[in-house]
Amino acid sequence: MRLDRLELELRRRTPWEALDLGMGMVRRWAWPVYRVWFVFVLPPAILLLFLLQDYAWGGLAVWWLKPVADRLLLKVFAEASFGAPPTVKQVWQSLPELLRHSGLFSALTWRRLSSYRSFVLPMLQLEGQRGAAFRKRRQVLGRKTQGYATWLMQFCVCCIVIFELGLLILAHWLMPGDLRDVFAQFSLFGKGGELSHAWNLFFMMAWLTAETLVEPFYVAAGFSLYLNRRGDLEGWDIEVAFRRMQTERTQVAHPSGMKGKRAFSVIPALWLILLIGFAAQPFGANAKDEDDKPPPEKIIRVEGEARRQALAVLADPDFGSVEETTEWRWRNRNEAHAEDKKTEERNFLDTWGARVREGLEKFFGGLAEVVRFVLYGLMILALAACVVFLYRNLDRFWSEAPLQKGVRPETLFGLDLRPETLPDDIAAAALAEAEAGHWIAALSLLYRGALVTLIERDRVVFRAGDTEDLCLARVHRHIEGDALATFADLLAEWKAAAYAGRLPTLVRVRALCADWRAHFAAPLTATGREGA
Amino acid sequence: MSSANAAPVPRLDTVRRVLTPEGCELELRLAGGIVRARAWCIDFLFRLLIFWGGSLVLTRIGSLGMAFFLLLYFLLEWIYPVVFEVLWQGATPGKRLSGLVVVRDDGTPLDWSASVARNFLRFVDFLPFFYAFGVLTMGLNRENKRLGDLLAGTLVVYRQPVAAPRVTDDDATEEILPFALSETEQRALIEYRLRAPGFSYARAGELAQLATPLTAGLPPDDARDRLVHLGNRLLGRGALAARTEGGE
Repeated sequence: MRLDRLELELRRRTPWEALDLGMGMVRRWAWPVYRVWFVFVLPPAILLLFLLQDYAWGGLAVWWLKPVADRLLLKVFAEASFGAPPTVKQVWQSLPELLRHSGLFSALTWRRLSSYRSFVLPMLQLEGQRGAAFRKRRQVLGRKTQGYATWLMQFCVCCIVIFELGLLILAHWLMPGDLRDVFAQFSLFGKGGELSHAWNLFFMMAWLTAETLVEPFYVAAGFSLYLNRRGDLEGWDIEVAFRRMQTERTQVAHPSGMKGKRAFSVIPALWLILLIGFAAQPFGANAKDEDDKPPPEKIIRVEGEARRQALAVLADPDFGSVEETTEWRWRNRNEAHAEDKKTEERNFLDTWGARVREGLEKFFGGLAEVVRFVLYGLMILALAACVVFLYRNLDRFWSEAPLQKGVRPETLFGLDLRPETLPDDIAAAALAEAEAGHWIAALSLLYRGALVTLIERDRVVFRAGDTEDLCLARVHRHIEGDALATFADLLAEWKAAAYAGRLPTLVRVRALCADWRAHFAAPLTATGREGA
Repeated sequence: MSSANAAPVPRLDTVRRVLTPEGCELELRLAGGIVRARAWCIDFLFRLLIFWGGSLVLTRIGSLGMAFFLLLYFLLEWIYPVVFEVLWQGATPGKRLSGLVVVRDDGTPLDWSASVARNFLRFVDFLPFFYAFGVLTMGLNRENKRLGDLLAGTLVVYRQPVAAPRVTDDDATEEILPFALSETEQRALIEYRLRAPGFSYARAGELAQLATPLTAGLPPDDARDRLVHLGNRLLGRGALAARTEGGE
């Protein structure tokens, strides 16, 4: 065995991860696996179903023969893991060998219900272990792993049921309303055989589809669990690392090998029996339904042309029928109670039981009373919280002005925008600052003044996180022409001075102040676009 | 067994590697369907217990109780996983017991929006019958994501690294490395040291002989001992033993 050829990453894994790796194997080798499945497994299965003519027995036979399919799948996975997925032809050629030398007889008889079939399979098929040696081997490898193999089995069985029922339900949903009861119609006019046949066929196909989805994963995950355990026991990852060290540092070579020993147990796979029961049940139930012809009103809901016609036909007295049915119901509790008091012991048990019941009743009754008060308290608290919340946020819901204006920020990017902090004649103040050499202060005054004017006069809505460019964009819809140009100039100068440290000339500031006075010193009472 | 050359594709594994902005490579070990189904079952049991306990009390106090009972049902169905995943380090009780944790695609913790998205879409994963779509979707993408995970950009990963076997023997003899070893070689040696007691004796010797640069010419048992002693050196077991002896 050339471990360096293995296409699976060798590392320490938990058994859960080993199971996950099984899914990865199905994904990577989906094509080689499914071509074998669709050539060698599905056609014979369908053929068998048709040959046996009976879906319950046919289904059971196909299910029972699943270990044969497992052997083909394992061959593909095993060889693909070493980099050479077999072709359909290669699988065909190895078929006699696989059937004869892979422990098929035991797998189809006493090991058929083993709950870790796919985990044990590599020991039978790849290692060729038999008899006492096999049992010993299974004990060693199964010691820490069999529980996970059981989880795998349960999961796969659940998945099959889920996919199968899911398909049936999906088909039921997607069936046009007019046709939904078409099978029921058939049963009324045919002999009852047609319908159950169609339904059973559908049911079997759904089951085979589910198997198609699940079985390769089941085999792959079992194989991966097996590999993980062996790699752990035999230090495969260490072997690869040591061999690499060997080739990198010297040219000496040594052969490889394997060994190991120990314990485990057998759990009958009740799940599977359950599944068969489940699969077989609906056939019988279905066939019975058709014979019984339930009252037509119950099946037929009036909608659609076909149904209306069917309803007209069914209105004929010939189709009316009265039938007797038997069903299980709860007996009258009191009656049961009276009958139970026949013997002394029963009587004792009963009064004892009644007393316990009474005690529990009292306990929970008392607890319930307490909980009732707690719940009322909670409701009152919640109500109070609502009232407080509403009160605190009253202006948000009732006041109109702020909604219209938006929330007026007191500061934008750190600039104080409260009108009361600004001087009366902003342009003059700015000019004075500039002449005194305080460029930033001058520009800041102009900028703030412009913003305040825009907010107060032009109703421009700014947000607290706006940038200079965003401000300009917002202003666009409110002022135009020279005013806009002035604002843009002001912004450009402000950005250059504040962020780049490039100060404007005094001439430029004078011009800005003049422009500012023309466009932004407008009275606060003015509205609309008069600034332009 | 094969005739093909070494494949150019990377070896198959269930790990997703994430590169953080700091340049660290995180290994997220993706959790698959079975362990997640197990976590779900445990959670289901918890929810059932809470539901049952609630019903015992709440059904006894009339329509008020009924109202809260329905509320409880709603909360258990929709809010239970969200609250636990966001407030309890990305795991519901079932996930925690199964060693799982939900993270975002880049390995960062879950936030409310992601958790709400992945858990509210459970409804779709559940269709048409008992998570059939969810299981199918998990099979169809490499990261075992169900539809909710795809929408929310989340992953379910294992919380703990695989536990290294603990050394139970008291062999603390050290040997000095004859030459410098690369990091991977050192790792292999440590791995060997940790797991050697678990191998059969023959296998341990056989493995040791494969490391010819270190064990050339030695019989299996001596080769094994030599590697164990070198491993002790790398693990610092000699110093550790000396310290515990000094402590006593």
